[in-house]
Amino acid sequence: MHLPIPAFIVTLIVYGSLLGVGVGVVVLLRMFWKDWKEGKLW
Amino acid sequence: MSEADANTILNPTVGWILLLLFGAAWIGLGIYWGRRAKSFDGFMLAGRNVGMALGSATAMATWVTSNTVMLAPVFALEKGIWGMLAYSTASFGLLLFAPLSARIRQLIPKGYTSGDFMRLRYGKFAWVLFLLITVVYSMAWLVSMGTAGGKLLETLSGIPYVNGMTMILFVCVVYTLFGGLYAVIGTDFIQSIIILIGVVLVGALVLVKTDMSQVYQSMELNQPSLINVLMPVALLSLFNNMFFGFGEVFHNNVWWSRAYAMRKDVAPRAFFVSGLLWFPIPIAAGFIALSASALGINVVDPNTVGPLVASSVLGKSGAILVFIVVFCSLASSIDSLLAATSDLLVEDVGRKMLGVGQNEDQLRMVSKLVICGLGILTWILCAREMNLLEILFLSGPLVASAIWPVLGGLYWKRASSTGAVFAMILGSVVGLVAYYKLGWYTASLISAAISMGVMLIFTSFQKQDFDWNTISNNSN
Amino acid sequence: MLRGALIFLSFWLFANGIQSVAELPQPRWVSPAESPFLADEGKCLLRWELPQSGDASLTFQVEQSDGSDFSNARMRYDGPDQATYISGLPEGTHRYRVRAVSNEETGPWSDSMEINVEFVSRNLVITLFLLGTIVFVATVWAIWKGHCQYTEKDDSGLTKGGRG
Repeated sequence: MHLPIPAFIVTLIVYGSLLGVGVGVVVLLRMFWKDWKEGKLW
Repeated sequence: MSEADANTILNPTVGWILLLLFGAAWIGLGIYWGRRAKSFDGFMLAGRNVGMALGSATAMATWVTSNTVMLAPVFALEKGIWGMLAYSTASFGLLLFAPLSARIRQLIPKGYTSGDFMRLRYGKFAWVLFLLITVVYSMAWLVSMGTAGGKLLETLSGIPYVNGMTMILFVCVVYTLFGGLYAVIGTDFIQSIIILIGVVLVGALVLVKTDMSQVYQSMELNQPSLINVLMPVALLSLFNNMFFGFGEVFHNNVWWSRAYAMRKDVAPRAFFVSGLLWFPIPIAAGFIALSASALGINVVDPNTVGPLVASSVLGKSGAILVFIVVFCSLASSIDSLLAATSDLLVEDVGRKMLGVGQNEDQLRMVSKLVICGLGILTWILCAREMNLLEILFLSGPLVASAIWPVLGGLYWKRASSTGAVFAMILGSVVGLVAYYKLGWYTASLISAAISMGVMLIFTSFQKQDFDWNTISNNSN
Repeated sequence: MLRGALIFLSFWLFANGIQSVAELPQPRWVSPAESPFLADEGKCLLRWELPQSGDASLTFQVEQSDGSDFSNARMRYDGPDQATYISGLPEGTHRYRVRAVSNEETGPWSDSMEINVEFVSRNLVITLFLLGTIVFVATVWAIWKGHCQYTEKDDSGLTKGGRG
């Protein structure tokens, strides 16, 4: 049986994943900055 | 575009320059950070004080292996959209380990390894069985990373397999040796940033050059199963991947050692964040394989579709990016495996079984010897080009059988040793049978299901409650 | 004897002449090894070779048909490689044929390669999917319940001295 995923969902998934990875970079760097300022890195 | 061109986009000189540059950086940083390790706890567990940023990054980076970057496009090419999403479910293991890490810290605050827990909770027999499972899996993972690394470097830059593989292993062994978990976690942070930036750059640049509606139309016409919601093999691999992931994360010392290395309040949150960070990566790395058809790129070897598309679309810079991301993802996993497996062998086999290493200096020396030994053993197996990827997949049902013994052991007073032993044995055996009789995409799921059933049955018949104090009083 | 030589010469010239206007050879399938081929995941590597040819400027055209003949065929590949990886095929029978194309001429089509795509049984998929859902929900539930029972605020199950 063939039930195609709609095109806009596929586009959403792809763009969403790239956005997610980009946000991930920002989140990690912000956490790093916060920990470093507070001397809580390790 | 001819397939022959892609293999020679990066020449060996460029490859070696990148390897030496990054290799020198990791080793330099490893030595520098290793100075923080004043004690055995410092060497093995980075002082048990790692914060959110480094904690989240190390969990995420360790889980990003070269498979994530290279296999995700293959999953997309062969199983389509669902295939990529199925791959992403491996992140659920990290998400669910968050509450487990809290419980682990609560039960065994000064523990060292996952083996410690199994021994104290279930006794010697279950412990030995568990050690067998985890050593097989860890070695399979380690060797398949080494082999993959050598092959990838050869494909991307023409560096001969043995040379590339040796260089990667050498760099990882040296900085882990000098810096212990401090070096591992520190380099993991840098590697995680590089991996994320690399993945998003390649993905974004490929998106700029393609048109998603064109990609979709091309798939609709030529590869309709890839956009089928009900694609059978993709649906099957969804849960199989997930349980393989649960098994890997819940049982392996790579994750337990991180749970101990992070500050107590940090560990659960860091694992949860790392799961969220990891989730989109297989999709972002994988979707470029779907663009191949629309871009007129002829795929001949599905295993290299990722670098093929990246270098076809982005030229040399695309190939360099892929090279760097792959090197970082290899290093971030190999160093963790070396450290955690050596910890397990030193603590569980050395200290608890053989009584070796009774003072700090001795322990540290033994640890370093074991790291070297593991490195050499891995090198030997990689040099013989043993394709342990198959063994890695076979270890799926083995590790999946450990999910419920670990869960039951952490949360249920009535979970019994007999139950745990039978769960691991039956789950593994039936899972392996399913691997060959039904298909690889059924093995981990079936193993987890059998193991769950066995644990539930034995737990319901168990009359005696386990005294949690047994664990905390007897741990280090 | 002279007549014999002349006859021989004319045959020889004729034969050579035939060779110079001969068609490109018919490509041969290398992979899959036999037709029909069962592809239970809808994927397959098509590889072909062209016997007696060292001409590097040749390109190849691969056609795919989902019907019984190639009347409604569409082009799947047109380029210099001698292989192409097919994936994402739907269930059914798909036929492929390949031919060589040079600057001057177009060679004959190869034999038809039949790929039968039959997915894993639907019952197995449904059963395993249901099983997976059950085990997944049970796993999450067990962790959630255990976590709520033993969070720091509640009784960890340990006596005071044992708390970390």
